[in-house]
Amino acid sequence: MSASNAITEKREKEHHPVAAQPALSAMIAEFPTAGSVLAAATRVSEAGWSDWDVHSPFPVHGIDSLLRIRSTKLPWFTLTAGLVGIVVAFVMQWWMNAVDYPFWISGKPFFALEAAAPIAFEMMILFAAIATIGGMILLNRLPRFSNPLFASERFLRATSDRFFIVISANDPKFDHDRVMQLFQECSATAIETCLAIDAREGRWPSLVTPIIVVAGVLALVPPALIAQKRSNPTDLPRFHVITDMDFQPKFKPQRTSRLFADGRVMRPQSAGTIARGEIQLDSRLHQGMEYGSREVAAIDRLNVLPISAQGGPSVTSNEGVQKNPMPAVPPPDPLDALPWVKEFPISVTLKTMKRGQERYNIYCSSCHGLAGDGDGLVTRRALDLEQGTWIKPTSFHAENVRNQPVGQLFHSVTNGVRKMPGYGDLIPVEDRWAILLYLRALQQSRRADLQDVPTELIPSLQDLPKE
Amino acid sequence: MIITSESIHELAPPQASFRDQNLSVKVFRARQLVFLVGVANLVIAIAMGLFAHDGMRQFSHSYLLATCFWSSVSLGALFFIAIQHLTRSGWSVVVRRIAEIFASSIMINAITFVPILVGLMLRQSSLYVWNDATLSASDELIRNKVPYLNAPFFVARTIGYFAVWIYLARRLWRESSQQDVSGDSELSLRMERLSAPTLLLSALTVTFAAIDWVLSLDPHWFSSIFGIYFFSGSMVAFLAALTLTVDVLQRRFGLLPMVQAKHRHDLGKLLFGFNCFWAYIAFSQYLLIWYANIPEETSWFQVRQSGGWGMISLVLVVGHFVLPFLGLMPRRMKENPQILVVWSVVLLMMHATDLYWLIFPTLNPTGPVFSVQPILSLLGVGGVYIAGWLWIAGQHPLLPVGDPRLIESLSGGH
Repeated sequence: MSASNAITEKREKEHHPVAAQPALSAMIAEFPTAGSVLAAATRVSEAGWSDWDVHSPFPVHGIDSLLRIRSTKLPWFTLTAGLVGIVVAFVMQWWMNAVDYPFWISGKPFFALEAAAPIAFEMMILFAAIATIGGMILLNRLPRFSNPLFASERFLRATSDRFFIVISANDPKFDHDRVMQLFQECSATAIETCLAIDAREGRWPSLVTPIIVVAGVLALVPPALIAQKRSNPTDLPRFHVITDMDFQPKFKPQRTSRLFADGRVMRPQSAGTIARGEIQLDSRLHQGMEYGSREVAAIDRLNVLPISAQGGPSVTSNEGVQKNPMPAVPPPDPLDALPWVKEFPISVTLKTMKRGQERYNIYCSSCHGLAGDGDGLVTRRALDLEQGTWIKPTSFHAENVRNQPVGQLFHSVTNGVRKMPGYGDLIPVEDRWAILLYLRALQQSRRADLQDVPTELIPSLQDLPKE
Repeated sequence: MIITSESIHELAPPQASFRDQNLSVKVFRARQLVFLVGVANLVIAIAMGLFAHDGMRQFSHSYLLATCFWSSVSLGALFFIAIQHLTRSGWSVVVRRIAEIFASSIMINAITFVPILVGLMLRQSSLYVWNDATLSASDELIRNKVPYLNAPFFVARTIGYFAVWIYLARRLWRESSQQDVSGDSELSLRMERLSAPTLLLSALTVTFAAIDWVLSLDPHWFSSIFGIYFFSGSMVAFLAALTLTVDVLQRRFGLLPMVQAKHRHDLGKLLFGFNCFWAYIAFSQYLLIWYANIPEETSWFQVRQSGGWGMISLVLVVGHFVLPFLGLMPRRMKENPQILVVWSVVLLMMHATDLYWLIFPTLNPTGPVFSVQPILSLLGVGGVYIAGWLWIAGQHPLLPVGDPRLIESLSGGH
């Protein structure tokens, strides 16, 4: 089948009156391979046509230069938007963090280039990507809902396996017969004419406008609701759009429940039981008191008073901690009268001492200071703020602290003293004793003399007092 | 120009080989010249080191800098080849042989590394502090790292790295050159299958090598991203070296005319991309340490931000990233051979500066002290390296003439 036989031409339909005849829009030539369309495009280009285009399923190398496609302006959109994104990100972060809501975080400057760079990087990409897509749509004059070429059934194969050259009727040299001759010389496998589309077809589909209007109105609803809520403060609990895990079918501490007869959520221990790991039989170790003291089990954490001192029955079961009414006139210090241990109930070794030093520096030094003078960083900061509620910790080197039996100091560490909270729940019992061991060493360090120094270390001492 | 598989064989060899009679003499002379210049530079540097009375410390740091610099170029090539095979890329076939020559030159790097290993084994503690027995015994942190950082294990590891790299590079080289003769497309698939383990092994070995060679100069410091940092710099250095080599071959020897604007565009894009990657990794390392602000981590940057080193840091930020970023961005800059060569030279110099910034603060913690020894060493090792490069390059055509994707590459295909 020769090429000329295969050429089909769309003839104007007979019943169309000549006056209503749509204008010719373009002529299309079909080619089977990339090579043939490249050869044909070279001829079209050499023949001096200006308003023409090539459509192919994939980019054909060499077409760009034949079509004299100018390089796109799109990179400038990208570059500009990227730079704007960087500037916006820096200004935004500076204003938020250093001006509008300065908040000091771990000693970092309010605004620092280092911290701002990742956000600037992301904003640069965001702005550049949006501008590139938007610019591409803009430069291509999209969206377009119709194109005269779409009328051709044959042309649809431009997206799969055929190559097309289209010469527009807008070309100043356009002439139906000349184009036909040119295409035939290029051995096109098919030639079609393409009619200009009806003005009505070029318009947007009828549903588009209403949809855009409705979507636009709906989009205004959330901001309107937010604005309304923001301008009307309310006392009601917040509105849970998403409940997250705020409401859970479980009991929280210190709440009531109808599940149990006594209405308590937190259950007391059953009589005669001890929780695993909480057995405390060794009163020297766990309470810091000598064996056999009847008062030992009865220390009230809040009032630090032995129950027997008030003549009440001593509690021997585990029925929870009983509260005692405060006595009318508190005795000077009831704790002093208790039989505190004066010796360490643990083995005193260098290892324990090192452990105590480490634990002391972790748990105690922030308030009490590394040397025990009551000048830790927290204390100093609190005193600087002068808010009045802070009580400076007593120096461990004060006479009364130095003279306290070690058991009483253990009691203070475990249950707290004055405003200091108890650390019994935080620090295991052996570590509490290790801390006290180190504390004793700290105290000793202020009163040591030459006899306390091992003889082999004496030569290494410096600044010995001249006696 | 329509290229067919027949016309390639007529076209390629005379324009893509050192085998030509005139050219082989020219190349032989060039090889002798660069080798002699390189050795002369090294001799001068060693002499200066001997007379400096600093226990060769200046010289050993300079030599390490030079060795790392030229090794990184070869390592970048190995990664590049593996990536090209794994992506089955067509465009890069015209420059892949040059990359294969660079990767095979890792043998030369192995030879130039020997003096460092010998120095270590002789307990010449002029380079790595952990190799100084008295110093490492007095420092608890180093003492605990000695099971890893000790001379015999270091030497064994380095030999292991080079063994892996030489094996991989030589296998890729052998199969590619076999294809020159047979044109067997099965060889392409075999190289592709080899490329996946190549990437994996190289990634691991380069990470450890970077930590051993450079990071362990300051054994107190540690950074888990350091291997990638070294790798990103290596890729930049290799791509710059590749671009430069192609330009020299085209201009001085009239070879490889088939490398055209579209190939330069692609090389420029990779150079641009990996340079951004280098900046990204460098900043990632810095940002985390800046944020955490822990003394044992910040100390390393503290040295490099104060005194004259701060100025070198700024030079790196501007010269290694900002200027090349802007300069390589437009398409025209990447397609223009002169401009691309300028950026390649700038980036190679910046890579050397980067290594200088990594290595030399151990020697001069208060600030950079100018010395010609780093320059002499770079040129010296470079002369030996280039001579070896030319020797390897003379063995086969400079174009993989049997590669089935060559036609696609010649038309700039993607």
